[in-house]
Amino acid sequence: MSRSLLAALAAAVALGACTSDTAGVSPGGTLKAGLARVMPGSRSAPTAPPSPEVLAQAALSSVKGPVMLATFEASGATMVFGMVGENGAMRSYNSPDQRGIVLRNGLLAATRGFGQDLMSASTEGVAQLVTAHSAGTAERVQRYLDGDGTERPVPMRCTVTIGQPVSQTLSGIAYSGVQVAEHCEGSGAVVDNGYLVSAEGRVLVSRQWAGPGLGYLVIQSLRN
Amino acid sequence: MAHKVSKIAQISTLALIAGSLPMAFESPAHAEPTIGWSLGTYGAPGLIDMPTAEVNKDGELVASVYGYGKSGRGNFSFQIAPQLTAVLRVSNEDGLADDGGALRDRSFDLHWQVLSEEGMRPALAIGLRDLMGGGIHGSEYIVATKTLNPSLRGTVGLGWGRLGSEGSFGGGTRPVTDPTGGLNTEAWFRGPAAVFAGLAWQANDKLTLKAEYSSDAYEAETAAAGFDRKSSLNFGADYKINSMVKLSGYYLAGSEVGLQLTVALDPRHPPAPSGLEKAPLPVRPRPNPAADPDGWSGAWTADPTAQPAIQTAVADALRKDGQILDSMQLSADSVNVRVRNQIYAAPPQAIGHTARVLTRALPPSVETITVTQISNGMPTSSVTFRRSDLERLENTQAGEILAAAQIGEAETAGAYVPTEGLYPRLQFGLRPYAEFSTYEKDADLYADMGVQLSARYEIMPGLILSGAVNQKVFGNLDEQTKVSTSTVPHVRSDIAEYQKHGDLALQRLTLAWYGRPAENLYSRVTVGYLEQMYGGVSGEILWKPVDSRLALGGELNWVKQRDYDQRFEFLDYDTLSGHLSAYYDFGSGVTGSVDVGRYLAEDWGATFSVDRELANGWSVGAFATVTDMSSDEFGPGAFDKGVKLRIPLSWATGKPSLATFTPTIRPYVGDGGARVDVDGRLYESVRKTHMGALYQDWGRFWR
Repeated sequence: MSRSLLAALAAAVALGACTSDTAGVSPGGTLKAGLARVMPGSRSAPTAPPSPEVLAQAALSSVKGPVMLATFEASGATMVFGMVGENGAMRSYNSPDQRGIVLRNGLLAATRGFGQDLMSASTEGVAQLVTAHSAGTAERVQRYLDGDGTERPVPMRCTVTIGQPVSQTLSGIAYSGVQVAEHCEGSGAVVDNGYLVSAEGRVLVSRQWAGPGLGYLVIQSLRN
Repeated sequence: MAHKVSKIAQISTLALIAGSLPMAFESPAHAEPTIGWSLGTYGAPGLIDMPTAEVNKDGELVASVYGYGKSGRGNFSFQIAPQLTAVLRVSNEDGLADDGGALRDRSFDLHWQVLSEEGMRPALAIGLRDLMGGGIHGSEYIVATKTLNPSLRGTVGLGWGRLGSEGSFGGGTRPVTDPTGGLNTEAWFRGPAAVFAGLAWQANDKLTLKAEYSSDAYEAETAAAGFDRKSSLNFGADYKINSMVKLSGYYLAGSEVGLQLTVALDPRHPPAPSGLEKAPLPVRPRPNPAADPDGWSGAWTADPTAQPAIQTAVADALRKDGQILDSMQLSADSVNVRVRNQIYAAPPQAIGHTARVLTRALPPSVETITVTQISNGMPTSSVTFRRSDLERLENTQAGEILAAAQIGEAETAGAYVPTEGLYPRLQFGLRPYAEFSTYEKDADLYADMGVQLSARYEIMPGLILSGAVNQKVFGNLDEQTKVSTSTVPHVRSDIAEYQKHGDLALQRLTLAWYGRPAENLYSRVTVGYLEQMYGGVSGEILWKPVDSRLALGGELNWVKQRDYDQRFEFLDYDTLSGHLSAYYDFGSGVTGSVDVGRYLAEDWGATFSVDRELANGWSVGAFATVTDMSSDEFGPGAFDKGVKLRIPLSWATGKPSLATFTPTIRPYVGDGGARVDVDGRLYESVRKTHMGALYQDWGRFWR
């Protein structure tokens, strides 16, 4: 029986299935796509990732509206994100391959499509301090789906400290603002976020913790 | 402060720091079960042959293969509740059969951690090995395990039966058990008892060393197969290859070497990160009334092109998302869409996507948004939102939008405009299949691999013609030698005869009609070749209010047995079978059901089932059927029972999919307590969209 389970499981996972539907919905991939997977020569050759500067310039020239660059520290992967929605202080950005990052007042509010995503975050208190360049403490709650699929909150207590005004060129773009650091602890997590905040209170560049699975994200606003 | 601000320096150079944080989100321990460090040779938490008082992780499914000399065991353990472990085992014991050959046997164990470890108190467990078969593994134990330091655990226990066979005291003689199945309660904790003990030491993250003083005399093995028991001490080492796989080596009784491979599937630790999918479309907030006075006033309803344009836009957006807009009812202030979710295992995720799509497509005057889920053509539940709540609560804690939403009975009447071009709808698919012979004492395992072509033609919503054909590619099921000797009608025991035919075997070909005859009622009529072995007519009705934990159902089937080649011919046997069923949702994903009625061999009785499902779709269930068929007529095992698993493909790949892998494992396929296996039974068709399941899965609403 163990053999039967394992073999069938392996077969089901490895081979998958091919489907076709006149309603145009084929979650398992179309027959054609399924065949393409097993046909030789269908894999594209790997290419070297472009530098952040090249990526930033390409993004600015090809995407309209607000654009940002985000890098996952753990993998080093850098992606371009263009704004696809705005709801009050919340902005939703998508990458060309439809992964999503949501910011509220420049603070990470959610990620989507990466796996082990940040489902939501309550950051009002922290955002007030960060955007007003004021030191202080505030609560922050980040929420995740646990292994069995239930939403779990991760509450943390955060201390915001203000650093020096700086001017810096990044990916070919000049930024000037004030350094703001946020140190959070709670629920077994120790988090150090950092922001470069403009005089008007806009987060220009930041390093923010997305969660235990995704780690830190470095987010650089290319066009507001 | 300086060192904190230096984080900015990292940003300014975009220095990439690899590595992740050590994280521990576990809530404070209160009576957490004591989780095992290693698995014994019987597939349950243990040292080597001796058990410990530990348990596996809740919900974990562990398969292990153990061999020593020419003997071997395959163990399957399920952690059915945090404190309760069940083990199914097949074994091949060299020289122990009556004729001196290998004894092929199966057995079933239960292991219950009565107390978890707390402070000075050790964990305490009791267990029953081979509690039904009366075979050579039959034994019982009480065992305590204590963590002596963070990497050392000690175990002491008292065993009966096989575990009381060396160094035993007292107890007189152990009663002989009936080997034909049923619980051998007469022998439990009877006869001589003996003490066993052992230690487990976690040398490092990968390696655990074990030693035990065994109370197992290996009497039968010594007598029949020349097992040389020189010592009561056994030694072992576990090496963790990765988070799922372990390899163990043992030195047994001073003379034998054993090896064990363990694969553990923990439903809470999927092999792929959950959520590798397209980001949902965001909510689009409405413009202020001054910017769109016609949209806000509802004047747009006077334009006859508005509704079709909106419906087309919504249907297109949903199609790209993997859903189908079945029909729509739109007025100046409200909308009700009927949607078929073809992709997300958790309906709240599908509902969340639909609601967001609607905020993007509807004129501002539409404030009430109702999303109705369709399953097999039947509207099964409706969730109603205020659009302003969706705008206000986007990407917040999922519980907030749940509190603001209303979940209720789906509207079955109303002026719905169907989406054009959906029906008739044809779907077909091609997938691999694997089929295995049933487990038989003293028989080899046979298997076929092949492809299954399936098609589904929905003529109109709820009227579905569907079928599936299997074509074997290779395998040896046709070499099976088993012949059923059952003395009752061979309603299931001729399975080998069916399995021998793998060429264009028609698995099913049915016309099914699903309906909503009245509020809270669901109906199904299925005609045709219902399953591999039966064709006929099956009718079912289900009462299930959306917010009710209780559901009641009735099913009546007239079926005729199909010919072994699974084409269009029938054998002589036909019968009427039927059941009255009660289902109950106990919460936390646990559902139970009782089916009372007449089974295929015209035996009367009842089936009891319990299923436990996690929000990620994993489910483990067990069932047992007791009928008036005698245990002699049924054969080994005395009555029909087994374990049902459901492992979602999305758990393994992290990508959204409705596909599942659903094996049912029966220790023995007999003719008693057998039901016809009809596709699309009603409770499973509606349950996931009703209140209990929606609440459980709701965390995915904004995903």
